[in-house]
Amino acid sequence: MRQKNILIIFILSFVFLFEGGYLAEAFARDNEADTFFRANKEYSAGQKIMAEGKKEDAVGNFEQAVNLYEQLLESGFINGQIYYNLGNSCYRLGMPGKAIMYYRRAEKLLPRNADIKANINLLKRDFVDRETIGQTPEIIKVACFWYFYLNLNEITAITIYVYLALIASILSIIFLRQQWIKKIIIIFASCFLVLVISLGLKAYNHSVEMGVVIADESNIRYGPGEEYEPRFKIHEGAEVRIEEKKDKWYKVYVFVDVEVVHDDKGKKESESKTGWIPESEIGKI
Amino acid sequence: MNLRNLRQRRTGKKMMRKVFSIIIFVVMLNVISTACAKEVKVVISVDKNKVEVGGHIRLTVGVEGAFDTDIPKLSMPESFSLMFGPSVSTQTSIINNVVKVFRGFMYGFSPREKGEFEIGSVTLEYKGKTYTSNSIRIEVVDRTPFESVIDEKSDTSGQRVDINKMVFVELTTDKAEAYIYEEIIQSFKLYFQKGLPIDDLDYVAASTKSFLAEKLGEERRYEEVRDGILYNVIELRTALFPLVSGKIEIPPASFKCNIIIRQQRSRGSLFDEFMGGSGRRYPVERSTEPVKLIIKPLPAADKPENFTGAVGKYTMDVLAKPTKVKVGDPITLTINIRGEGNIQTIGEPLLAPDGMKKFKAYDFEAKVVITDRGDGIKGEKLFSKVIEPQSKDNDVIPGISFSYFDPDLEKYKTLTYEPIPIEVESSDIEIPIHLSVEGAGMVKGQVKILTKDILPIMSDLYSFKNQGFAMYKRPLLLATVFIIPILIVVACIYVQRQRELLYTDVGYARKKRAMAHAQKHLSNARELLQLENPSEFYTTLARTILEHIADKLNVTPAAVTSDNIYDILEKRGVSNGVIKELRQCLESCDYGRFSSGQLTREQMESTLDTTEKVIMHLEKQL
Repeated sequence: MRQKNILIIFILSFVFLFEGGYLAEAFARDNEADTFFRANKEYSAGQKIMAEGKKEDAVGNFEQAVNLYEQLLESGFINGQIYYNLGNSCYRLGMPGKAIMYYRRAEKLLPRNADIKANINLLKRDFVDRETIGQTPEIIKVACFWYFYLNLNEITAITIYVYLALIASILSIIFLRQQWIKKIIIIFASCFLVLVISLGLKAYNHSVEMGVVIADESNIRYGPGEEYEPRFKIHEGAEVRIEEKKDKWYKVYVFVDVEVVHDDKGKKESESKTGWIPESEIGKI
Repeated sequence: MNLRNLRQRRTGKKMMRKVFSIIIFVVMLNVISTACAKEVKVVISVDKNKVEVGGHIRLTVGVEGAFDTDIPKLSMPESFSLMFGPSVSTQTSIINNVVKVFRGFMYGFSPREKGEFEIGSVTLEYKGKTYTSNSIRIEVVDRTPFESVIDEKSDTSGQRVDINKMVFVELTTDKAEAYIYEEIIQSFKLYFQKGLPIDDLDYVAASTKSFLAEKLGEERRYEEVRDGILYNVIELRTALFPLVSGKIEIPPASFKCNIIIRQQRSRGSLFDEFMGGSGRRYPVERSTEPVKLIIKPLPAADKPENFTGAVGKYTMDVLAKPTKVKVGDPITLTINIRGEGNIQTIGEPLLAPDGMKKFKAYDFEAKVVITDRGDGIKGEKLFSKVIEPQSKDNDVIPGISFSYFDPDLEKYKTLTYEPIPIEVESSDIEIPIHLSVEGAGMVKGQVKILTKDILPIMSDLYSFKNQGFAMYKRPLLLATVFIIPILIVVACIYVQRQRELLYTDVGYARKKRAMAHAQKHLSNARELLQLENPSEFYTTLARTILEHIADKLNVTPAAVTSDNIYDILEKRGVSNGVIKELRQCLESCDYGRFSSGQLTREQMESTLDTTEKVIMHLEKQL
């Protein structure tokens, strides 16, 4: 009798904690949603003023929208929509490099959203540097759809669900001894394996630090300092892979066409596309 | 009336015939006079310049430029017997309005001795002039077994044929050194002896992965004399534009065909071995030598800023239409770049960027027309660009420039076109406000995109949740989620195994349940103690101990008696202390059963405790 009471108390406290957490999140979300709504309103007002031809007057609204969105992010509330709207606001304020940075962040959280991709493509048309990032073939996107259409958290959650289903089917075969459960185990095990590999690849891709040039023009130098000679120039919006950090400099690999100069000919392509850039001129994705 | 009409018709027809005959005569006269006007040329050729003793050689004396000559005088070595000829043939051809007359005298000879012989110059007297031909060296060898690709087993006739010299291929380029992107003409030539019937031609082109390749016209067919042998030549030409600099090798091209060789049917029918009739098909495969090229990079010095990689020779024409517009109206700028080189890849010309600030400009649209593929790629690339003046102040379209590298002069050249004056009037319609850059050209049949702008912001509150919680970054959580189920599975496997053992192994089941049974019996004994029934109490205790031991040892309870129990336990390794305790306990039970009235309650409780202890010890040691 005593044991049963303990069990009931334990279950009730678990439910209370869970519900309490959920309600707390819901209340907090109300505040965040309010800020988000106000930021959107500012943006829409700016858009309207801009459409009337008063570009200068609209700047204030867009700046206010940016402040509110950044305030949301600083409070620890992260959402793909905030990044996307922030990207739009930056674009309106004439900062396409920052806009790309926010769009890329939004893309990580909302991989199925076509608007983000459309805006990235539109902005990239106007960039000075011609990028050499290869597009993934459509057939691979279809064949591995879960990889391209799910974000990292979603893949993690699905992997856990499949794992639990696998465990449940293993438990079933332990107690029920039905042969057909073996087939279900094989299916779940295969799915689990594929998902674990996908999860690993996705996590690795997320761990690779990427950045966008946010300055109008940046010198990529041979070393981390102004005293080093510039190797080549890249322009706003060019995406780079951050390989190393030293003081206030990033060592980056650029995804743009680089003309190989005479003294760089002996080097590999990867070396000729690598150099150092000030931290302030790069926005980390 | 009818008769008169009939006569008139007949007379008309006769007149027509006469006029037609006169025209043909004049044309023929013209042809003949043109032919006669050309210089006469005498050429001798043989079907092979290495022949076996007793073999056959076909000699053709060709006279070009005259059709009414006498038979030329031959000077053949004495050891060559005339077997055939002369067989005379006349050929007239008109190629590119040039008339060619050819008269051939064909002879057949058979050498009787081996050695090297020279067939001396043939002389021909024509209209008082003497013409001499080239001379040919012929090698006569002993009869040797033929070594070639022909299947010996299938060659039942015994006739051997020298195929190797009959067909060969060559791969050449017009230059050995060139600049990157400069045009190089690659020529693949197939030589096969005149009259040799070949079939199933299959040409595998050389791989040109370091080049951009453009086919040059149709295949060329002509005749050529090599080492005194007259060959038909098929030439395939390709324009190559190198894409990388350095030492590049064009790998060999290969060619396959079948030669149809008619079998010799009787002795003496000699010379036209390969002519006509159904014959054997001999597969022949040839490949060329690789061609080595040195590709130089374009000079870095004096390279114009707007140079986009065009190499060749070009000219530029510009047309702007209309030149009188209102603000916001489109002006189509057509820039035609014409010349020799790789037309396909030439880049867009440059409009002075400062001058373009007052215009809204759409992207260039380009169209390539190749006009000549004869001796290289010639053509034009037409760039169209729509620009819209944004204010009345725009009075000129900015200057246009295009730079290219001339490989002959080894210099960069820049073509410039002066600014084009235009008249811009103020617009009647208000110009719509555009939110962003517009750059979409209109294609016929498609809807014109009016404004290109970023897509609107998102405001979906339903999915507005905090996505900052990264599950994959919580190793403890993941470990818990993944490890707990594994532990559950392990526990379940253990439990299931225990259950199976209990069902299948009686000894194990008895051993496992022995303690539970003993506890149950002891509980009964405790009740009997309460009821103060010493006889039953001691009997229960004794039975509990013996049954517990029987369960533990998996034997029947009858097999365990007070007499043998101590030996059994000793053999099972039970300690002497426990055995001693057991002995005392059983003796107390025996005593209690038979003298129940003399035992106190305390003594019974003491025996019960001892029994419990003994059972606990036995549980551990058995």
